[in-house]
Amino acid sequence: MSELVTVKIDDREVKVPDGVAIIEAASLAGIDIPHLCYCRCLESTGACRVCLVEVEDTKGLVASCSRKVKDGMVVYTNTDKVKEARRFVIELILSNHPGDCLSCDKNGACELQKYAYELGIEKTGFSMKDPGYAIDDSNPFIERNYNLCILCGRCVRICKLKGADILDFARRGMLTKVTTPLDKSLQESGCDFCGSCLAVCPVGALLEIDRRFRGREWEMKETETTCSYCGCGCGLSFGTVEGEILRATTKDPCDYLCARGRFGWDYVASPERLTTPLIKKEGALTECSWDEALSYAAERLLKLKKEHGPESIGGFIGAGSSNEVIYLFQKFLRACVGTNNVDSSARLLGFPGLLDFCETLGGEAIASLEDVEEADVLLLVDADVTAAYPRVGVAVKKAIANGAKAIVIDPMETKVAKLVSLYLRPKVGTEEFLLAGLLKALLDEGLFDEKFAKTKCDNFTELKKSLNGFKMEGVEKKAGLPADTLKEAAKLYGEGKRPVVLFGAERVSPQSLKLIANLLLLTNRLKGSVLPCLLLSNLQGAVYMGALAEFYPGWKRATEIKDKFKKAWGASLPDAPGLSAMEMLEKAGSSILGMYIIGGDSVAQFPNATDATRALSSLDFLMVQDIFLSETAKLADVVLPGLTLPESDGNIVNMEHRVREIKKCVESPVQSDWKTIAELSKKMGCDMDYSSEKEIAKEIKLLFSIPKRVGKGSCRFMVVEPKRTGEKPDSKYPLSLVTGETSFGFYDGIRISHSKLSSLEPYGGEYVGVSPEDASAMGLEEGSRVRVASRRGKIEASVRIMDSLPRGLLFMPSHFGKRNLLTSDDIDPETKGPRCRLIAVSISKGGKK
Amino acid sequence: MGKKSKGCACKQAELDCVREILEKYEGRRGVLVHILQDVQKKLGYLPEETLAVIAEGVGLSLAHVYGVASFYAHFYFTPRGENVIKVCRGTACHVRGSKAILEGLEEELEIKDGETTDDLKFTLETVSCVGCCALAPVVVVNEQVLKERDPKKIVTTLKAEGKEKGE
Repeated sequence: MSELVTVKIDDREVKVPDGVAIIEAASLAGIDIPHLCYCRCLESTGACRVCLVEVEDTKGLVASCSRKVKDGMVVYTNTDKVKEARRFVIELILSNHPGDCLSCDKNGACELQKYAYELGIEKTGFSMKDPGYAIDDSNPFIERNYNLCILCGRCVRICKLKGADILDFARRGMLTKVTTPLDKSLQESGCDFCGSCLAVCPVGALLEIDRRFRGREWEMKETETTCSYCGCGCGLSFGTVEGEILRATTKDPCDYLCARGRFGWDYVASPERLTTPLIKKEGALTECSWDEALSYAAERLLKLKKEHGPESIGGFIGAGSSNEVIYLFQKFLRACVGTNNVDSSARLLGFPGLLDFCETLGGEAIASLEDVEEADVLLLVDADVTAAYPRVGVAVKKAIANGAKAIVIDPMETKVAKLVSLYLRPKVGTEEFLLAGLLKALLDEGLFDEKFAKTKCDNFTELKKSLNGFKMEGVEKKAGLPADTLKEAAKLYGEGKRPVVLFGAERVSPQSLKLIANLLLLTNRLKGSVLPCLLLSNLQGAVYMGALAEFYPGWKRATEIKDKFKKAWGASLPDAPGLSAMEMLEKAGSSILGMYIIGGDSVAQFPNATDATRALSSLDFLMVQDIFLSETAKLADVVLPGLTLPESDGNIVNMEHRVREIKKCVESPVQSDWKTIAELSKKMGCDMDYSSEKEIAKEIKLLFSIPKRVGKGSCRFMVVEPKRTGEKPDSKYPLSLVTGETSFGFYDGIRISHSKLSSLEPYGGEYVGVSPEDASAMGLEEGSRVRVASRRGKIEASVRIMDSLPRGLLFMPSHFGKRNLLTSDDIDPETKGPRCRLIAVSISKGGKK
Repeated sequence: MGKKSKGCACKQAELDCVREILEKYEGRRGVLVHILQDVQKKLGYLPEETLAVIAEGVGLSLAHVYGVASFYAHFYFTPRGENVIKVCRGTACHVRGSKAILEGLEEELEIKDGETTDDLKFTLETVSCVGCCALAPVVVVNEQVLKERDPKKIVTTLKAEGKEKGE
């Protein structure tokens, strides 16, 4: 903390940290100095001259955003001289700003308007000049009207800090304009549509297209809630008018939202939303009443339970639901149906491997985003942070800008890989060798906490022994990285003071998880030192709520906690261990006969979609509750409309293990998901008396708490023999395929496909990424149509040549619905989730445009 | 060979040329304008693709590089003609009839001020003062002050010279 100095501002004496700008000191004293180009989170440029103040013993007026305070400084912010200067500046700006306040959406929220009013400027004394720029609305989200631009440059600076760095001032003098390189459209310029520029624009130059003429600031109802896309759980505020979402923004314009968080909400009002329950009659889904649908479902489920036992029924819930809904869902299956067959998308995206990981290290190991921002060394393993979890990407970029050294391990050269100090590109599927090599290098170089490893951890001798036989030359041979590079990485990481490891939980193998745990234990970094990045908003919550077959709510194994819940729920609970989602599908039609699925599009989520569809079709009874008639819902006997998170109240748990509140911002004609579950339960003879989400939340709170930090770790090293992961390519399927996230897509695709966001995806997201080397070897061009085949099936796609890919690796966006026709449903025996994240494929020319 | 027939191979040559220039300045800071000048000198203008290479080479964003380049009137983003005709529109030249010369040239070349003919032979520009007001009205072609003031004759002479060179 820097020293405090005393300054006097408008006769108010304040102590402020040395080195802050006058405007900040004034703000600490509760004085708001008018400003236009200054923004708290951005570098000051002193461009607008609105924040001029008088400083005693200083000639002329000074820009308070750029001048730093000095001990004993005396400042006047509102003298006649200051006001006169300010009025002059505002009049000059107004001379180049059409006074179209009558129909401007920023009316009432415009900072220029505010100051003009406060200074009593009725008309500018200068002649008005209309710049006559054409309005750019050539993209679906951001309207750029540079006639209103006052050239404050906030958008330029925030784009550099948080966006794609595509804006700058161009030309000069009267012709100066903020623009993209060569005045191209935002799409062509590589804009990532985070919309940060919208949030900081003081006037109406940058506006959400969707809100134009639909509501001004004071007409909007603001609801502060949490984003429900990825696992970051960013805070956002919905502005609604008459039950419609006009825009999403952050309360503090300096906070970040990504493209999905800012613009991905039009799906809520999609006319294709399900609003009425459907029952399959004579092979066709037909509309019916809620009562009819629920009575029918209850009857069918009770029949199955009676004839084949409760174990013949299973449940699956997407991790896009709130804690309350997930908790009630598993309670319904366990206490009312009487089975532990309840699972969630957590199974497909890194759990329960991640649970063991946390249990080894202890909950304190989980880093927060602040920890990432303040880190001095970052190690990213298989984490495309800017695309999959953009808020993490911003934290990483911030750390790097502050001087942090970063190491990226990823066969794909992600955006972040281009910014880092050391990019390690392992051959496809060889991350485990690389991580083991890092461990070995840390040991060899003595860059570890020997005392801690020896005395506080189990299995250290075994670990050492296993690494003794491990040859660095082997890493070079397998992963293609020389020992010296690994040593350099080990040195960088080992010597870090506050290092943080980040990895994409849905991409790293269970074995890699263990290797990363070893790495953290070896260096005794168990406080805010690792952030497992989670893809869905409530993956962590789903696990806390007990939506994994082996676990009860509170992250407790079914076997150790059953009795507590028996008492609490007043029901007899099943003894038989539950089946994972993958196992349920495997046994569908034989021992699993009925399923209840909520949220997400399971057919799109499950690997090997052909078999998954066949499995779900072979069920006696399938009930699906979702917001759209998804591919899964089309197979169902009963379809119930679901609620989106912007329409729900509740809580979620983000990747930092922080509980975040979800608040209803618009009413829906559809009833809440928890109500549907409770009514079904009642019809099956188990009363669930809740009057609101709050009551469910209260029950959860009584049973267990969600600590930000989970208990102490077991600190046990795990001996791992590194292997190549994924399906091995052969002569028939010579290439590897990885699926991953893109900036404008999202996982199962069900929300994005009903949003304008999907229009920003090249080829509508239906593409296969090919490295330039492979493309030229196979004679493929950008946009050519190809067939991609694996051992499970084949699909057609457009070719997208991606520089980020190495030779031999193909990429498909995870929201490309058909990609799961290719993926493998091989089950990992330990995690009971899908084993292969990399599959072997072939590619051939052909297919329709 | 005319500039218009530039194909893919030439693009590659352009980029190689830029890389060569970048190499010259490697490791130095504050060299962006020098690099832009060198590239323009070599290629006649700043082709779009070269800007991205320059940006990467100096470690600045493309937006920043474009911002700097567009600040200066003497950096061009479109190809320029073999002959650059500059008509002075300063006060002295205006008084002595430079407006008519400009209009005559526009008519003769079928382009407006600031444009280049489709065959990339001529670029027509105006300047504010050349610094030799005694000679007003001044027309400068390829850095040479002309004696001739008749637009028609100026163009005919230049075209004839071009043909001669071509043969």
